[in-house]
Amino acid sequence: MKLAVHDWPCSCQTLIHRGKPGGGCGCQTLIHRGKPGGGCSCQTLIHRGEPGGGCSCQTLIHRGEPGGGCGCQTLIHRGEPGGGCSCQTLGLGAMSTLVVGMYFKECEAWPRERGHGTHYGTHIRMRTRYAYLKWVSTVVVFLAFFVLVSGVGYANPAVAVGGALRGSSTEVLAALQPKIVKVYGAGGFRGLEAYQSGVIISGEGHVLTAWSYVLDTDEPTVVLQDGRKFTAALVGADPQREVAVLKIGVSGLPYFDLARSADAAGGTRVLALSNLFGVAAGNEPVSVQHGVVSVCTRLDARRGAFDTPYHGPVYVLDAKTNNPGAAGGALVTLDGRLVGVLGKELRNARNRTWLNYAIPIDELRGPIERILAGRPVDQAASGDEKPARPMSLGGLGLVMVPDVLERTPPYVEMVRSDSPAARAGLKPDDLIILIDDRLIQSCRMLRDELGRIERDAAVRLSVMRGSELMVFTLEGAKP
Amino acid sequence: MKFCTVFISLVLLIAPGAAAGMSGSAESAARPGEAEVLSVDPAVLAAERRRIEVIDRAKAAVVAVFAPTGRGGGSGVVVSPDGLALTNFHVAKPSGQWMKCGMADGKIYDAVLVGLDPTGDVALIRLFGRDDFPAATLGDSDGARPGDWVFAMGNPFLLATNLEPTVSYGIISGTHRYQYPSGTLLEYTDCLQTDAAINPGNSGGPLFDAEGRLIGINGRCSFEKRGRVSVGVGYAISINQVKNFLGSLESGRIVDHATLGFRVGFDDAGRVLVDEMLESSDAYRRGLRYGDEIVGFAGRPIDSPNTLKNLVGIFPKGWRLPLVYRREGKRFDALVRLAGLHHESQLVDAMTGRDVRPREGPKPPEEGPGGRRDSHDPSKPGQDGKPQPHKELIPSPGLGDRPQVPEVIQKHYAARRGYANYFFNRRHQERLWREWTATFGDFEDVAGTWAIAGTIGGGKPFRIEVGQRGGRIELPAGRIEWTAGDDLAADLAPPHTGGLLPALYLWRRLAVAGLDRFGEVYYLGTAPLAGDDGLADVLVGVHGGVTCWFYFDRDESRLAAIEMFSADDADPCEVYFSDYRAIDGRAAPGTMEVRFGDEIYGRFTIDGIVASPESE
Repeated sequence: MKLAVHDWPCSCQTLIHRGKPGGGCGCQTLIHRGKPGGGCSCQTLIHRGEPGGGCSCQTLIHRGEPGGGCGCQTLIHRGEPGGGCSCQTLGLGAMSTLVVGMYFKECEAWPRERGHGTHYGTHIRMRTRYAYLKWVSTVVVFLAFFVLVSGVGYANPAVAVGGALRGSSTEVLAALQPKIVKVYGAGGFRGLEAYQSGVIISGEGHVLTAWSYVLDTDEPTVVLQDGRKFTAALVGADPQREVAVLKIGVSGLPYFDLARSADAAGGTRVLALSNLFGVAAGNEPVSVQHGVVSVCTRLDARRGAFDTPYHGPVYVLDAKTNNPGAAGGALVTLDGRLVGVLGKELRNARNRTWLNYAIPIDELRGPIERILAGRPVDQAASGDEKPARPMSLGGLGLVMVPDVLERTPPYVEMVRSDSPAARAGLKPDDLIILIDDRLIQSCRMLRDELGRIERDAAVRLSVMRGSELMVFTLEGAKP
Repeated sequence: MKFCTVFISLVLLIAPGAAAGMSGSAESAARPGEAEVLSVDPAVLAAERRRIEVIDRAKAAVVAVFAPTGRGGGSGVVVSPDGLALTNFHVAKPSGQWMKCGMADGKIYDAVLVGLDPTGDVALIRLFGRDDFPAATLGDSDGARPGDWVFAMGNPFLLATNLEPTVSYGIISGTHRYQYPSGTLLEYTDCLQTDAAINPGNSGGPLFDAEGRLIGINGRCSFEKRGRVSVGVGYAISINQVKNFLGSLESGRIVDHATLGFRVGFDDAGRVLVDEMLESSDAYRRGLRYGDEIVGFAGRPIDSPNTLKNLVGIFPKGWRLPLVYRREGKRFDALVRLAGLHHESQLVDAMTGRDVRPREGPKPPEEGPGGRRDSHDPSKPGQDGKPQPHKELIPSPGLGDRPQVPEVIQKHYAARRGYANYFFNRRHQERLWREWTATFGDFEDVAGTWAIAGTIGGGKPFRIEVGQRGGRIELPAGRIEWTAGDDLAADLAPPHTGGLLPALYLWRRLAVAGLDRFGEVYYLGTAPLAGDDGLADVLVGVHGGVTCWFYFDRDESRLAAIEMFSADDADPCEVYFSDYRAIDGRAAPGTMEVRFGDEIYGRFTIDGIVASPESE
């Protein structure tokens, strides 16, 4: 992998932009260096150098000395703000307590604005996610990874075999619709829809749905196909497979018998039923899409590309099923047997394609049984084997910047003396780019990846220091 | 050529797909390189052949719309041999009064704007150059069910540079969908949802059912984070809605959608109840009150507020439709007239003014309430953060050199405020006039007083006279004189008719003065006549402060009814003519029924109408 370093003048979307942008630099670089002078308004991830008087860039991390007039909306503002800093940074240096205080302050405005009666804790959680989305969508820098990495798309041309769905399948659909529900809960602003989908899995009113922020409320609401509305109780959840079971106070509804669900091989034609985009309301039937199972594969084959706790088998679909609100919907065969539950929206961090997938019922049957029986879900069961003694940041002697975003850039805050990291020569402010050959995009991903490496193994870290890409090898712990 | 490529690639894909999906072929699929031994179910091959035939037939009517500046476009579909074609309002609007249309025959035709429906996002255009355009067969969108195969054709990403339309296949994902307006008048009611790929440029193109019948006009998609490309959620305006508006669109007007004048909500038992209403609405005058339960509208049962909202959205302003409601267990039937949804200036602004929809850019705050969001018209491409490969798609009216307007367009276009193209309105006025006077006769030589005589109420004689300055009516109960002043609404004689004499006065005035001297006259389009299933041509005349709707039978070109409105929120005087017969070479009505409000005023049997030559 090459890190492209470009000199001024250029407007290309490089990972690192160096040199002097002068007055009119509008490039979307990941790291912008040099002195922007007066008129810098670039949306860089990291802005270095001296902003001087007029810096208003929306950088993720702003370094250097803001001096008197810094009004930038940086996520992390470093250096000494001096007297006149009024910037809306998330964390000022290492004073991460500020973050919490700020959230509380912000939160007071939320309940009224959103018109939801949910409790405070929810708002704080929501706010965190919201902040992430806001920043990440504003700061377009992740585009840079386009240049670096080209990945494999999942687009698979539709195989539309002849024969009309009309007839048997429209009747199948009519029989399926009463088993699909609409779930409403927390959320309600752009990027965080307050709705998702679910399937009824028992005659006693159990609803299988996605484990997500939508359920971050005391009273999720379930709306049946006939328009009846119920307040649901959370029975249990499997955060790793990202599914949850709700219960509503009604029995005798038509349901999917999980014991009679089916498997689907690649090439199987399927229908997806979900309330994507919240198109259906009240007694309106949810949307139905058609497609083919492209392949049944494991998500961990793409570890590092997909930011998800689930790394087990999935059905990859050729239809664009995983849209907002679709999570928890049903994937069925043309004869109406449940084969999977639609997952959340998932984007490949490398090539920015979206994955349309469902988690096979086979993977969920055990966890659902345990949830229904009131037993804890076995977290390790999804086959993502982890080392017995995994590596950790503490073991390496690394302290990272406060992990306040879902994708906080993995900057080294501190290196403990006499640690593997110190011995190798790592320093504060190093930005970790690679572990061995795996691209690291966030502090969380860094921890995840370290968790997959045996503690006694040596590990190669590639970091950005200043404008240089440097490689360090950290020795493993002594057995 | 492109079509062939699609065909071939489908065949190649089907072989392994069918092998995996069909029974008894697992072993053959396991032997790569022996594709020739694959046996495909003959039913699959037959279905495939059938599909290809249907697509081949359907594509002939598909239109690729290009703005004359070359900066924008979309799709369309021809619906009549003389070249009338449907597209989206948001496709036609940036083009202005005319556009270039490519068809699968490889030719490019000039087309002129005919009519606009800014709320329903429909535009009617007319192509020139043939009188035998291949036209799509209109289907029945109410027959569509989730799971039905459908296919969309059109010009996504303006790919159809060789004028062959693109086809994308899918299923109906949902029916009777409602999509909120997003910052514009534009509102999709009772529409079809499909997972057939609808992309920027597909706007205005046809959605066909598996038999190749036109069931919708593609126009909208749900987008979110994935950029302006299909995410498997497209919406098509139902063709049944378009059928309701087609007559009005042919009139060259900017047509409006409608409101019932009341709102509904759910009660605990799930009933749909009136919870807010305008006392000026026709529904109120027909007896509907706060708290009444709405049971049915326009022949469909109402089970939710959304159903009613959906249904109202598919009808033009001014139509009268049956409403069924319940109060204290008793059922009531009423015929309710729909009021306009927008002010005329809003509609004119929608056509001429700046587009109020947010353009491409960061964060358009355009989601509708209730979590339904992000339906954009797909005429404008672009992906989040990425360079837009089809920048030319973005219509930029006013930029670039507008090419010379072709002669055929100049001949078929007339600008007038409130009209998309007044030329077609005038043409329909003249057509109606020609057809009506062909049977009813020319009154140029007999412009004097009309005397209508006959019997009423079991053989008792009546006599009505209307002339240039007024009229009189003689009934068994007495005689009433009426003078036509400057304000005809000032005296709505005789009482309890809503103005029978002014209505008949205006009837005579139309016949005697003609289109040009009557006052303001325009062709409204088509509307149902009360108590009749079919549609009638409606000519509207405004004179002396009142508005008169003249309904003409479409088959016989006879005047079927007059509705005279003395005010916007008043019941009209309704006069229904029937039992036409020939008197002195003129087709004259034998029966005249007069209604006002919910009452029948009288049924007049006409023995004769005598028009005297103009007197001093």
